[in-house]
Amino acid sequence: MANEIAIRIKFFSGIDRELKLENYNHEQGLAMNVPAGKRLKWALRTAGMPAFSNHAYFRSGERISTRAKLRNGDEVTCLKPSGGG
Amino acid sequence: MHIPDHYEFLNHSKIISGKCALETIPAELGGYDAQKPLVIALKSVVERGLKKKFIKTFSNSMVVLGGIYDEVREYAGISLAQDAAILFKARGCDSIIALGCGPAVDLAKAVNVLVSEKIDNLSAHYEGAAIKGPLKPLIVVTAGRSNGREAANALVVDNRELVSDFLCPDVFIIDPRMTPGSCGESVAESGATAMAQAFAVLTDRGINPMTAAVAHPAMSYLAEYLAKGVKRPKNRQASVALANASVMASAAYSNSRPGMANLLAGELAEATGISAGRFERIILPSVIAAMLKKKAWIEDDLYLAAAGIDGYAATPAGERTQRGLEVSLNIVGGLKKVLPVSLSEMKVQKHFLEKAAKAAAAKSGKRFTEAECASVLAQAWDAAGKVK
Amino acid sequence: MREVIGSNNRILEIDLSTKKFTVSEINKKDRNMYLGGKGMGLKLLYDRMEPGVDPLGEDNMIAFTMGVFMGSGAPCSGRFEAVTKSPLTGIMTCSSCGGPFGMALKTTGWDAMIIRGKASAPVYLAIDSKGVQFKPAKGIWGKDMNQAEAALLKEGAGALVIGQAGENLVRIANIRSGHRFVGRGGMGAVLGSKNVKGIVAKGGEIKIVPAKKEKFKKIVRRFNKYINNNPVTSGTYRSFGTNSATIACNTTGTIPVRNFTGGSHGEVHKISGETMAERFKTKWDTCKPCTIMCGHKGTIAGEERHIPEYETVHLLGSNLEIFDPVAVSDFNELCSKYGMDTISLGGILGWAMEATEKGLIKTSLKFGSTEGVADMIRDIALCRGIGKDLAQGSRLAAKKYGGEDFAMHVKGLELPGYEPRGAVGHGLGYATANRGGCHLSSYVISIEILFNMANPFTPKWKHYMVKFMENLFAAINSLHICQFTAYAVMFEPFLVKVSPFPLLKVLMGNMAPLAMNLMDVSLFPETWHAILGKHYIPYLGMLKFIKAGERVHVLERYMNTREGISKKDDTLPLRLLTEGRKCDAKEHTVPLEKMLKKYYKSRGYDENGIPKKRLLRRLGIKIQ
Ligand code: SF4
Repeated sequence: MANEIAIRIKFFSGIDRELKLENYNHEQGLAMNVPAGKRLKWALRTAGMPAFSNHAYFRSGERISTRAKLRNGDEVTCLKPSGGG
Repeated sequence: MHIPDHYEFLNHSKIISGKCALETIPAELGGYDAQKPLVIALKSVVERGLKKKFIKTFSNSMVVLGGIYDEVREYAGISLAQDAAILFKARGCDSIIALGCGPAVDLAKAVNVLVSEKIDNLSAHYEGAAIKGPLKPLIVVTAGRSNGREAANALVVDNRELVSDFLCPDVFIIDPRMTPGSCGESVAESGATAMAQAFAVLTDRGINPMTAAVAHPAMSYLAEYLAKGVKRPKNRQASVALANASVMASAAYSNSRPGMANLLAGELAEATGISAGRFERIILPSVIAAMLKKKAWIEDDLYLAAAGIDGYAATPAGERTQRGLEVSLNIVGGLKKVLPVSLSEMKVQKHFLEKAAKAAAAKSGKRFTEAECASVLAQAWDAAGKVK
Repeated sequence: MREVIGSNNRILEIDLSTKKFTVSEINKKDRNMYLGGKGMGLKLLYDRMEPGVDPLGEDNMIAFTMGVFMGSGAPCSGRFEAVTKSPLTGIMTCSSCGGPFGMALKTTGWDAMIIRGKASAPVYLAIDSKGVQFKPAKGIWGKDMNQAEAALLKEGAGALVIGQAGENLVRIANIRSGHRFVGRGGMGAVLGSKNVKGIVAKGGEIKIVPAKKEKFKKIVRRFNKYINNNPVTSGTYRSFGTNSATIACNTTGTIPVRNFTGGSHGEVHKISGETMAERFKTKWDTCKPCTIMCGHKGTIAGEERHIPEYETVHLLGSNLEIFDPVAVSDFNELCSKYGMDTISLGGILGWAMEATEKGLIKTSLKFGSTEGVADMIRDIALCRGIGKDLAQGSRLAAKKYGGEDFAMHVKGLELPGYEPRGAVGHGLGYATANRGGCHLSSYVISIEILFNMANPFTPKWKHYMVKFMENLFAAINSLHICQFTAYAVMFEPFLVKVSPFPLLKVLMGNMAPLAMNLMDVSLFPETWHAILGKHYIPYLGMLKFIKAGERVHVLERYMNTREGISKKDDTLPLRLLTEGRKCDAKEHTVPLEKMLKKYYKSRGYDENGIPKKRLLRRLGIKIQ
């Protein structure tokens, strides 16, 4: 459909397990087609994520908020905050 | 005059010094049938706006600058040489100009080896392979701090030395538009290095007529202009004189044996990462003091060069050695206000001293003992002879 | 078992040359000013050791110092500090360790131990509450860490051992206690130079009881609540360990790739914490006691192993372009056996791979290939062939063979696993860290990247963030409690917790001093106070606590300046200042000069980076 865009969301920090995604692969992430103009929040909800505020989202290396508008071909990384060592 | 049983002397470089020296570069390149040089410039020289002045001098010439590689900082490493060599080839260059002293010249020599010998790195040469033949024309425009190696038949890249007679630059350009120093400290460091080199040559028992002849004006310029140049680094006359002194001292020294101050300073510089010039300034007075105490015999040339003919003629022959050492001490003393005077002031870790004394003695070819070196360092520790 | 309220305050001073020991006391003033752990270790050596000594000579001293928290039962308090002059950097180095030795020494009745001199033949030290026995180490000298530790543990509750690397004076040699290490700066070589193979403490001779039991209990409850509520300390650390930061750092281009040229890599997920947890079925394997529980073990190559930490994964993995977690674990195991710091080792191997590529040295090492790596690790530990030169650290190896421009160290200490061109404040932290290229001194990347509270590319306010974090961490490491507790203590108290995140971010970006001081870290001094009690020591409020951290940091800086450190050393490898990362089209570099000037000013250093007399006086540091 012309007014749909293709995006990919990669879940880490165990979020994929919490979402109970079947056959989830970290390399591939979750491919989705979403209506053009939708925001990240919408896509996350569609993927089954109940709450977002504690997570971090990155697009092309830059942090984005859940209100960011999605663009065709976007690859979004979704993580929980982490500490390193 | 005494003629040594045997001596050798190499100085391939032409020196062009004075007003409009820069404008002679096209003709010099022409003499080598070259017209597209790659310029390898010190970043600090570029930051001082000297690159622009330099480029301007080519405006009416047939020479086309093939490229300007201005990424050279304090350290000359093979990565930079490789990058510059790629640029050299890509732009079809046929010669090299080093804009600046120290690492810019080392790097220019290394690039010259890479492009002339058509190799990617210097590993074969580090393992002993000789440089096969003449390299591309290399012109050095002196500017910035000298490391005392510019006129030598050697390069140091990645802290490793390559020696070959083909490494001597072809031309030195000493132009008053380029020579003024950025600050008194940098002038003092270059001066201390030149002083330590000229002193080593003039006090070496193996001195020969040529090393003496080349070191002599270096010492004379230092005696007359070092204090002035340090006080007023932008002074053109002094800066030209000191640049000449650096080139000459470097040429003479590369044909001579290192003195104790050079060896010890080299060791401490390696241990601490601080430039050798700073250590030479500190150690040379202690070396001189030890020579005075020992009443060491040296040729009169030192005094003649440092005090000039009038002073020399007015001093009884038996006192000239002593007076030569004293005048040298005064010349170095002139750097007191700009460079540290003691190793303790420089916060050199004491345990380095022992190792430096040992290594310097080992490299001296039995001319100095470890104890002598240690004693000089002990005196240099607090510049008053006391070791805490 | 004898009960001790608060702290022992006893120092065991051992002279190996004379085989004698003395007992001294930590006085109240020093306790107040320098707390314990790191601060106390530095102060003890400051009072006893001349500057300029050879780190591998008899005159160097090494101090092991426990904090007030150790033994009290406070969360994450099973950590102690080692302090000495580093053979790798030639300046002071401090290292925190969570192994069982700390608890054993403290419950043997010692708060600190200082070792000086050199034994005439290899020994190990057996410590009990009366003092020390010097026992010949004949049977264990030459043995690896696993064997040596197993042997020593027959005589006590906790041991410290060195491996062959320490015996061979490898400048990156570490000291081990359990699965934890006194890692950085080559402390293993210092023990090796003194002919000490290990130290074993009997343990269990005394029991520490807090002075204010009820208050302490309440505080611990609050502490645990903070830790358990915080998504980092209770979430990702617990599930995936320190390596949980891998994906975030890779996504933001802040992992080291190919000797710090890359910034990120497509294969990094293969070595992430998540992948390792899944693949190796990890379980906890932590310092004791601990509430956060970041340490993990798992089944790798058919055996139970400690899971490599973030730093190991990146220095021995991505930095060498190796993305095979089993290979990384193999290298890690070799380091645990021979006794070498994995961070420094990875930095050295990265340098060696690039130096090989550039024709400066001849080795079989190659980026992206595991071939020859294990052999080279052995050669370094045993000082064989070129390994002997690499064992001196990347700074000295580069001095000998060249390649100083790509030797990734600061002040001789190899850089950890964060790429500072993607987090410039973290870069400033590397440059100013007292022990050299250290991430733990200020760890500003947590603010810039991991918690996303400040723009990672702007130098704005980074000097303040570095200074604040340096002071805070110096204080925390002097209590001594795990540094990771800071995230819970900083972010869980009411005011920060209820502040909307965007507001905090705006504050941090524009008014960092206000934002940072909003963070209420008073839980730390409150715990301290509950353990020691009012009768012993005046109340240590939050400001005094931070000031104590400042004092510790500045004392260390001052000690280093006596060893010749100044502005010229507060720098970064050229690559980070002049080249962009491959993953970064904008080619960011670290604008160090700008930040450094402001940092010196806010610290009270002169323009050459030397602490001003006024500052030393304000902090009560005696000028020597
Ligand atoms: S959080 Fe990790 S490092 Fe800290 S005490 Fe616990 S196990 Fe040790």
